Amino acid sequence: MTTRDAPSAGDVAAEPGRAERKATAWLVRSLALLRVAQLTPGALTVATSSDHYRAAALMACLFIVEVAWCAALFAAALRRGWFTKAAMLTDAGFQAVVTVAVGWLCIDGQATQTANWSVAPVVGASILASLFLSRPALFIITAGLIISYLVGVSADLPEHWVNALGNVGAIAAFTWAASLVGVRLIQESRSADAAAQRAADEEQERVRVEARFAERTRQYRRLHDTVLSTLEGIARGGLDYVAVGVRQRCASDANLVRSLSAAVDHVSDLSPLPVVLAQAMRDVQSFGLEIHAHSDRIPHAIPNEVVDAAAGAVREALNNVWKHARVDEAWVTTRGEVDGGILIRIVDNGVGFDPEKVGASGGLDGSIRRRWAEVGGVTHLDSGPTGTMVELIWSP
Amino acid sequence: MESVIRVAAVDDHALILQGFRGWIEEVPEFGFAGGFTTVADCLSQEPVPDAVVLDIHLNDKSLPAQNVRALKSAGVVVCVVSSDEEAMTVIGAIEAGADGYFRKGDNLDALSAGIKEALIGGKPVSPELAFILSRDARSDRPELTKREHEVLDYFGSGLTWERVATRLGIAPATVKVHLRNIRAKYANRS
Repeated sequence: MTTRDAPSAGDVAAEPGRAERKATAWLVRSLALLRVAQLTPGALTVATSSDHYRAAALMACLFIVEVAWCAALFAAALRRGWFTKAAMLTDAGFQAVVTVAVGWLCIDGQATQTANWSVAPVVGASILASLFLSRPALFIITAGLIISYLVGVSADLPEHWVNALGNVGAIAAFTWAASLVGVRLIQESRSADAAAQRAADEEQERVRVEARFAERTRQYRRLHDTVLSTLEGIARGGLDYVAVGVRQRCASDANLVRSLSAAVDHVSDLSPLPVVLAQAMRDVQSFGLEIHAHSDRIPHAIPNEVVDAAAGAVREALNNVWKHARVDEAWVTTRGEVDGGILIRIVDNGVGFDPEKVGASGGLDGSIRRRWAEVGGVTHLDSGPTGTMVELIWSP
Repeated sequence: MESVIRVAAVDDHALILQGFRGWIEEVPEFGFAGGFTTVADCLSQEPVPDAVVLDIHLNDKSLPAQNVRALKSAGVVVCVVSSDEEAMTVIGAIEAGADGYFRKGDNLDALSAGIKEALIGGKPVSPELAFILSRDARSDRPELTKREHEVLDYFGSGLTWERVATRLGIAPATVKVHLRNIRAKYANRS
């Protein structure tokens, strides 16, 4: 049983929002004050009207037990921020027993008068129940309390039925009024929380859309600076598209476009990684290195520092291929892993090197391994006479 | 088989067809059998070509797998090409019987080697195809062994057969056997 059972029947109470927490805290404090106000006249009556009771000492003990129970009930509620349903039901049961006992302990003619201090706590228990229960359940609990009261005062009913009826009316009326106020207060607080949540969701969506728009704008700018200018150059007739340089540029541009389209293949949001890697590859490809790029299921939730480190590492690895491997092509494979991480492989089938003999200050250690380690990545290197494979692995 | 392998191209871009023509005419064993914008046009020629380089997406709204089946039923070797990796479409074409898959911008030597291999009954596996198959995440994908997964993984990353073999501690010929078995598992689904 939760401490947040809904006062309006049928609602499934989720984790309460800020407004609901404030409303329930206010209700707990208000009900505590109400109970104090209800018991204070009783204390005075018990202390000063011992001749109205058959056993004054027993009545005083009963009142002390009542005060102790109420103190425990509200101390727990103030600590938790709300009542448990078990506490509410226990309070109703307790007050039902108390009102029978108090009625019986009053001397003839006093059970329906102010000497019967139990009426006020009965009203308090019924009000508390009204915040938890549906209308039919509340009716049953309130009716039970009223019947208990009537059982307690049954001896006086023939002569003082008007007073008894007045008390019954008070129990029912206060409960009804409190039910309207308390339930409405909590419902309004929940509406306020829902509105605040909607506003937060809308703000989050707006930020996400803006980020996508910014990323697309960056992509369009890259396309403008690369592919579009290449095409316009050819269209103007100023470029010989058969020339090696132009063909290399076209190949680079085609790779860039391919990488950009790969970025939207498997994710609803654009992942910045393929785009940044495409730019890094294009930079090296412009030297004349042909790069075969594959990518698949790249997660979009990769931290920016990891994206930047990956771009730097890939650029450096491809630079190494271009400078040292004596080949004119390389492969870059980027894929998402099941744990939300990524694996990037840079492969060439050229002249490898002995990793043991590469100095710690070399490009591999400085620009790749260390840079990648700084963002929590792991670098694997495999190099031999027939080529080199650099693996960059990152897990969230 | 005739002394000259008659290779046609099916693509809906005239410039691409022109490019394929230039490439086919440069390969000594190949003869250009025509450039077509639809598979139906290609198959209406007599005799049908020995091999076709087929763009995976044609503007006539035909389905890639349908095009592959039509060409294969005419006894033509089919190598599918595309500009980028549309994994599911490529897998669909392979399962429909395509002999190989290559990317348009990639090394044309690999494409011509693939056509020659297919003409003698082989099933060429390009690194691009290996990568796509290695990432096949369908629940009903063909069941591959752990070793076959490893071969696809490394070959699809650009390692040569020899380097894949060295890395896995097996013979290069065994790598080829694994690739052949993988192709057979996909072909058996068509």
